[in-house]
Amino acid sequence: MIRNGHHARRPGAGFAPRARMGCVRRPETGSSRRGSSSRRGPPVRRRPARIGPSVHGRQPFRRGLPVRRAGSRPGIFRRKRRMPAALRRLVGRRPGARGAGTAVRHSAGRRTGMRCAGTSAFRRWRDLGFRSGSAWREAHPAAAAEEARAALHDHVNRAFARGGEGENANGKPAGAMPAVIRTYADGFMRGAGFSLPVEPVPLNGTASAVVIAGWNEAALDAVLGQLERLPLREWIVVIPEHATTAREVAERHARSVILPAGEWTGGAAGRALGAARTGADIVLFVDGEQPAPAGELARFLRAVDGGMDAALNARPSGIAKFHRRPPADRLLEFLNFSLGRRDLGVRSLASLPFALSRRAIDTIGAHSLAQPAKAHALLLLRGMRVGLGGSVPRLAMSDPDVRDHLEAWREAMALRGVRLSFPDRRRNRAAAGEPAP
Amino acid sequence: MADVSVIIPVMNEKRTLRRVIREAFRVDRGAEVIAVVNGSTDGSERIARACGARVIVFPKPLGHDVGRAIGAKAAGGRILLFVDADMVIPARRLRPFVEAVRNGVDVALNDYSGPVRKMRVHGVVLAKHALNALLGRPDLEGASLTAVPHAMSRRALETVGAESLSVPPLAHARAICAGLVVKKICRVNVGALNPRRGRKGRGRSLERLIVGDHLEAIEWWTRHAEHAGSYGSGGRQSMESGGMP
Repeated sequence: MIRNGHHARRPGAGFAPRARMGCVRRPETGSSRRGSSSRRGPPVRRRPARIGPSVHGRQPFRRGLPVRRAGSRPGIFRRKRRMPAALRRLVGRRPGARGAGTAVRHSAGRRTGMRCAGTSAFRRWRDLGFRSGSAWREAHPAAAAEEARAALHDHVNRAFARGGEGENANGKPAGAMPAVIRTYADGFMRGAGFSLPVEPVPLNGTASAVVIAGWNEAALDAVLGQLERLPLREWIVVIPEHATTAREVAERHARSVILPAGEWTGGAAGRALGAARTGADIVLFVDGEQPAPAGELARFLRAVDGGMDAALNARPSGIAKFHRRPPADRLLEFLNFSLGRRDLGVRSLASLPFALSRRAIDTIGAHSLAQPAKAHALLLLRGMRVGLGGSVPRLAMSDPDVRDHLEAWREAMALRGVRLSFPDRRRNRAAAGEPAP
Repeated sequence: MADVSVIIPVMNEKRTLRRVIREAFRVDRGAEVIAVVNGSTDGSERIARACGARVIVFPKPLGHDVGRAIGAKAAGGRILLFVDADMVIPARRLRPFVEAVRNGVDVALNDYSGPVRKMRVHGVVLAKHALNALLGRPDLEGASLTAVPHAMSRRALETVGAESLSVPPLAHARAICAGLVVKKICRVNVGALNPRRGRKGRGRSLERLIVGDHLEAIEWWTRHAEHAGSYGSGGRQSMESGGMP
C-alpha cells in the first residue's frame, strides 16, 4: 500500500481526466468498467498536502489560477501542479515503467492514470501494444530506434486517432485518455525490443516543431532529446549564425532541419523564419534554451489536434500576484483584457512554448510571428480559437516590447474602433470642447 | 489672483459637499474653489453657493470627469488641485500635492494603485499599470490622473490642454510624453473613502468607461509615437524628437 501511495504521487500521474478513468472500453468486450472500490470503507486521502499545512483534512490552499487544461474534461478547472513536478518529469522515467507484474488492486474514487497501470484493462492494452510491437519487429528485424519510434507513432495514430465519427476504423475509443495510450506504447516498445522513452500522441494531422536555439548547446541537446519522444515529422532548428557547437548538436538528431538565422534578433524573428519553412498541420514552437518535458509539450499537440488554433503556455505556477509581476506582463494582460479575453491572463504568444494550427498560421501569416504581441492580437481579432496547452515554467521576461504592443493595439483599433468594446456613451465632451473619440 | 484653484465636480452630493468645500478653502490662503455642479437636483448648487464657492451650473449631467475640464478652463490659479465632491479629504492631506507643484513638479499624483496584492486585479487598476508601462513609466505603477486628488501646474494644464482632462488617461499620456515632471506624491486611499463602491450597478459600467479611456490614451500614443518616430521609453525621448503634436 505504501508503495502504491508513492505511485499515486508520481509526477506523471495526474495526467488523465479522472472522471473518464472508469469507463475505458476494454478491447475485447467493449463493455464499460467503473471504479468499484467505493464499497471498501471510507476513501483514503492519498495526495498529501503540497503547499502549506492541510487544515482538518481539507485540500490545502494552493497558489495559481484555476486553469483549464487541454485534455481535461470541459468544465473541470484544475489547479496547476507545482513547477518541480513538471520539471521532475524531465529527469525521465519511461512511460509505464512500473512493470506489468505489479498488480495494483485498489481503485479508489480518485484514480489517476499510472496507478491503474496494473489493472486488468490496462494490462490488456499493454498486451495489445506488445503484440503489435512484436509483429512489427518480426517484419522489420533490422530496424533502428528511430524507425521503432516512427512505427509506434504510426500505430498509435491508427489505434487511437479520432476518425470521422468519434471512433476509429478499429472500433477503439477515439480520444482515449493519455494513460491508456501510454500503456499501449509501453507495450509496443517492449514488444519491439526497444527501451526508448516515447510520448505517444494520436494525431489526425502532421506535426512539426520550430526550435529557437541559442548559444547554450547543452540546453539545446536536452530540448531536442524531449522532442525525439514526440510524433513530430521534423523540427526546424533556428540557430544563430556563429553558434557552431549548437549546430553540431542539432545535426546529431535525425529529424533536425537546420535553419541559420543570420543575425540574431532575439528569438521572435526566428519564429517567423521557422514557421515559414514548415507546412505541417500543427506547428509547435519551443525555446531551445529552456528544456520542457515531452509530456507537457504533448499537451500542446493534443490541444491543437483537438481543434484549437493556438495553444498557449498555461504556466500558472510562475505567476506571482499582480504587484510582483514585471511591466511586460501588465501589457500582455491588458492586451488580452482589451480584446475581451480576460480569462487568458498574461498568457500569450510572447511566451514559449506554444502551438499553432495550420489555419492560424495561414490566417495571420508566418511573418507576423516575428512580433508576438501583434500576432497574438491578430489571432484573437480574426476569431481564432485560442486556449491553453501545456504548462512550462518560463524564464523571466525582459523589458516589454512597446512597439510590438502598440502595433497590436493599432491593428485592433483599426478593426474595432478606438475604444474597442469599451464605449463612452455618457460624456458630454462637447461641453468641454473635446472632440468625440 | 488666487495662487491655488480647487476644482470640484458635483453631481448630487449634498451629503458631503459642504465639508469638501470647507476643506478645499483650508488648503491654501485665498484659494479659489470652483464647483462644477451638473445634473444636480438635490440642492447641491445652493449648498455650494452658500459655502462661498464659485459655481458653474449645468442642468444636465456632463458625464464622468467632464466637470474637471470645465472647472480647469474657468480656473485662474497658478496651481490646480482636483478633488471629488463625494469624499471628504482633510486639507492637511491635500496640501502635499499643492506643495509639490509649488516646488517644481508639474503633475502631482496620488500614490494610489488600488488593490494589487491579488492574482486578478480590477480592470481599471490593470489599465492604469499597463498605460504607465507603455509610456515607459512603470515606476508610477498605478498612479494616474484618473484618481483624485491630484494637482497640476498651469504649465501642465496648458501643455495637455484643459479639454483633455475630461478623459484623464489621455491627459496623463500627454503630460508624460511632453516630458513634464510627473510624480507620485503621497498616498490617499480613495478606495476606502469612495462611497461609490456601494452603489449598485455603476461599478461595472464605470470600469468599462475608464478602461476605454485608457484605450483612447493608447490610441493617441500610437499616433504620437509614429509621428515622433520614437517608441519605447516615452518621456524625454519623445520630447527631444518633436514634443507635443
